Amino acid sequence: MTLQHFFSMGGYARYVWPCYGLVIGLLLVNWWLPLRRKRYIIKMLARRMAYLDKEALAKERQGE
Amino acid sequence: MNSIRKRRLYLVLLIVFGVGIAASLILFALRQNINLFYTPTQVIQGEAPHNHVFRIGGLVEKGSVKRQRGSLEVSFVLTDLAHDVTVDYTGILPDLFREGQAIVAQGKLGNKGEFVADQVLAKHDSTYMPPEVKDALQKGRKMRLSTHMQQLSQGQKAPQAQNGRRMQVVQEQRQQTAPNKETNL
Amino acid sequence: MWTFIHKLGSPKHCYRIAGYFIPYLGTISIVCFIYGLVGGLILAPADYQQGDGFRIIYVHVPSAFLSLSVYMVMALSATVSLIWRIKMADVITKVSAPLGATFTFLALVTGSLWGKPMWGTYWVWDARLTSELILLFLYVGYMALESALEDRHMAARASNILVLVGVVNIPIIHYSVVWWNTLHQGASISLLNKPTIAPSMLYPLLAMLVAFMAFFFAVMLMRARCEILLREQKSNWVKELVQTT
Repeated sequence: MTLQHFFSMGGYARYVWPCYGLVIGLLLVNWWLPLRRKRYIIKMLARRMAYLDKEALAKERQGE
Repeated sequence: MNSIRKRRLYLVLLIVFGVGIAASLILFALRQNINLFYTPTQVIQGEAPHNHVFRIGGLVEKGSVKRQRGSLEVSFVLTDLAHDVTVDYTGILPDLFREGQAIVAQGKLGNKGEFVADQVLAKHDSTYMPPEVKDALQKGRKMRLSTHMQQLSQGQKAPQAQNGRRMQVVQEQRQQTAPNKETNL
Repeated sequence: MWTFIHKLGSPKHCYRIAGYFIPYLGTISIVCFIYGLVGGLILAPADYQQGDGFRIIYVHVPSAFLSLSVYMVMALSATVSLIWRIKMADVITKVSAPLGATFTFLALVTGSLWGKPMWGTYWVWDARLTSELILLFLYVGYMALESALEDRHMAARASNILVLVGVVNIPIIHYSVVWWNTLHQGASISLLNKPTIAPSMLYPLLAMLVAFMAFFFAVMLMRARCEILLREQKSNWVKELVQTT
């Protein structure tokens, strides 16, 4: 089987390859989204905690 | 399980069964509308709408496909093995259109009882195999043809049964008997 | 046994157990997917009727299968949530929905790209295609309802009931090709009957099914971990986790 034969898919290339491309693309997006979201959540929580700590520290100083 | 949870469980079951019963009643009432096509038998018996676009489904009778030279006009006989309807169509046929194949055509009934189609779709069965296996199967089947002919004649006795399903079975049997021209129906 | 189930109900253990399983599921998914791709696109012979066009089956059937099974997972967790009010069940229902919608969308699009060369049309309003489209609307409707209600408990309860109402569509999709006449053909693989697909074509398909299932569970758990972090952000274990990373 030659490469050209493989890519032409017996004349069905314009149906077969978009199918595989779309499936693989959407699956990769689905895999990547939660990874990005987890990084974002942890960063956001860390920032919020730092902010709250700072506020608590400021209040303490005012109390002095 | 305490009583509150039991009550919630009953509620869940009530929802599921209630919706289930409602849905089955609706689907039962609409069953002819949900069917994609009428069979030739239904059309001959006048169940199909007149002066109205509808779909007809069946097998393309072997040897009945006539093409007009130099045009895309084609006519063939559509059968459910009980009754036949002639279909006229002008246009490009799908790749899987061939004699013995199950197809679904959309159009109207003409004056002479023929079906004038404006769209022809091929229906395919759920078997997948390499061509070599198909050839080997056919060789094996030639020897057992007599039993297949029996099955076919049995099938003819109950043409009204579940059309779509039966059509597929009959189609498979037809394809299997295909290489022997003299045994064609 | 009971302590294990109780632990599953606790967000902290859920988070940990999910993190343990994800790498294994991911590996299974990738290995099976690669085998399925090679087997389906190269090793499997062309079909006697459809030629190479039938190779779309290796992505269409797993997508369609998962679109139904993901809904059953959601129905199960919605039931658990409605009866036992377990917080983690809500998380599973919520994070499964986008995945189910993805699979349904993929099944519809790959199916229509398959239908054009073989049947002669991208779309036909037969019972199978229409009920699958309704499934997509159910997923989208669930996500809309779940995110529209402000109060989390109200949102969970209302959307869980929607999931239960939609369950009726699952047997309709599955049996549509038996109950009515449709353009879509019957099933090639079923639990009770011998598959009507040659073995050399069947094995890559089974590998793809495993790959898609493992993919669903891996990504579902990844999403669930994010959701748990958000919902439990005030608890001490999340604070510790954030500080150590």
